[in-house]
Order: sequence, then structure tokens, then C-alpha cells
Amino acid sequence: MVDLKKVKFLTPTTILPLSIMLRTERHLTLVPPPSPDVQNYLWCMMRDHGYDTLNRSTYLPVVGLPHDEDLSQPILKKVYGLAGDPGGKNAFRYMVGELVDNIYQHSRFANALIMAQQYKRNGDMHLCIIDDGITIAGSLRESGMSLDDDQAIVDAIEGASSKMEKERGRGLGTTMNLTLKGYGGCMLVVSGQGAIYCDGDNQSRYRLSDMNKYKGTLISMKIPLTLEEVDLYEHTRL
Amino acid sequence: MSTQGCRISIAHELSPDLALRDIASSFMDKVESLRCPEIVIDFCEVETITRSFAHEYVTRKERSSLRINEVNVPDNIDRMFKVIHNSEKKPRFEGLRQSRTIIL
Repeated sequence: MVDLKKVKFLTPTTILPLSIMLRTERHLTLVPPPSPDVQNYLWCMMRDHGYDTLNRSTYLPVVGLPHDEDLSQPILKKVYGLAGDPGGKNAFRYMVGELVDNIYQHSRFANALIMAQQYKRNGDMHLCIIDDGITIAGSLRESGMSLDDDQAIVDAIEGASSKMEKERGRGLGTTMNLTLKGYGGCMLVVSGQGAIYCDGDNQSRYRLSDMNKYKGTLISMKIPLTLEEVDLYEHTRL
Repeated sequence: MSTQGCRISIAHELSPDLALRDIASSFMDKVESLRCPEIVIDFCEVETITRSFAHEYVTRKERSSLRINEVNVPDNIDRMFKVIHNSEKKPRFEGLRQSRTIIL
């Protein structure tokens, strides 16, 4: 049973793991949040990967990535359209594209989901992407790197890749650099029993207990809803 | 693949937003399968490109025996190709590397 009785507010960072859990463990029952507004929001966001039916300007509901990459183009287009390209097309679409590409390149997912929500009152957007694949450490392990989950995340951010080619392994690090230094935002990465959280002043790493681990990878970002163009090239020249 | 002679509009063929590495790889497979010694890739209407897409495109082009040239490359796309050719170093997040692991 998933008990949300005490939940007063939901963000993409909590909705996406919940959505994966309910899709993969169909026997689970859900006790919904008490507020009708929060309940409605939850059903609206999680309903059947419903991007075809929902077309509001402040959010992108949970969207599933197809296994066939060729079919992902219209979904990416929808993500870009609904998210509104804060920081400009170049920077925003770079981040989404690199994160989605990482999932296809490395995760071997059964389920992969993306979701975004604008919070106009706070002036920011949460963008979250999740998969239930082999984790970052699992991917690096396949190329002979045996690392704890938290260390694997740090190494992947700094350029480690299961694809042993020069210039590979830049997607996560450049996206993080862009998020933190380009947008002035913050980023959370959870993979297996590891997690890292970074914002302007704080870079923290965590080792999660069995109870708190996530069997897959979640990346969540908070970025300001800036109309100013973020300089993509300054922050990806790495 | 929509070609005029051996000129290919990559935006029409794929998308104005060039994002995924494997899509770049499949595109280059199709380019290689054309029976033209010289191929022009038209970047007109391309709006954005990721580093992964650009890297795959450049790598495959360099390995190809065909002559592949680009035309109508927008400035922002050209800048990403330059990033690929002039990358400085891998990213370092010293604060993260040196931070103490917190058990949760």
C-alpha cells in the first residue's frame, strides 16, 4: 500500500517514482492525499501518459518514453512545446535531449518517464526524468568499473562512461554545469543506493539505505523561469 | 530519405531539434547507403542540437569514405560543432568529489 494521507503537496520528483511504482507493481493500492485539489492534480498528471489529452501551459504531465527511439521525436517536440523553453531553446532543449539520450544509451529501461511543472509564483520550473533501468553504477560495471552507487554518480558527472570512447560521457556533467552555473538552478540525481544534490552553495552526496534506494535512476532539476538566454556553449565547453 | 540528388535536408528528414545519438547514427547509416560520392547535408531550419548528436555526426563523418559537406548551418549549430572540436577538459565538481558521504 502506498499511503499519501499526510501528503499536502506533490512535485515531479515524487510523482515520477510513484508513477513507476504503480506501473510496475500493479498489486499496490494507493491511499490518496486528503486534499481534493492535490488528488485531482495527481490523477491528472499520472493518467495514462496523457500528453495527448492535456495541453496546458504550466505543466507537462507524466510522459512515457517509447522503447523505439525513432518514435521519441514527437514526444520530445511536445516536451519542448509545453515546457516553454526557459533560458531559451538552445539551453533547455540541450538539457532535455542529453538526459533522454542518456536513458537510451545506458539504462536499458522497461519504463522511462519525463514530467515538468512550472511554478509561476516561485518563478521556477521542475523538470524530472526517471527510468527503472540498470542504474549508473550498473552501466559502468558493464565496462569493468566497479563503484559504489554514489561514487558512480560522481564519476559519471565527471565524464566516466560505459562507452569507452574519447568525448563520450559528457552529457550528465555538461547538463549539471548548465543547470548550476548557466541557470543558477539545482539538481538531484538518485541512482540505486546513491544520490547527489547540488545547488549554488551546496554539493552533497548520499548513500541510501535499502529502504530508501531506487532501482533505476532519477534526475530532477529546478531552474528559474528566465526569459534571458542562457549561454549553452559557455557551460558545455567541457 | 528525402534527397534532392545527393542533398539531404536534415531538419526535414529528422527534426528541427537534433537530440539523440542513435538517431544521428541511423541518419549517417542512411547517408552511407546512398550511392553518391559527394553528399550535401542541408542544415536549413535546424533549431537546436545536443552535444551527443553533434559528436556522433562529426565522428561518423570523419570515419566515412564519402565526401560530406554541410550547408546553411545556423550559427548556434556551428558553435556546437566547434565545442566538439575544441572541448577543453572533462567537467570537475571538486566540491562533490570531496564531500563527505551522508548516510540516509
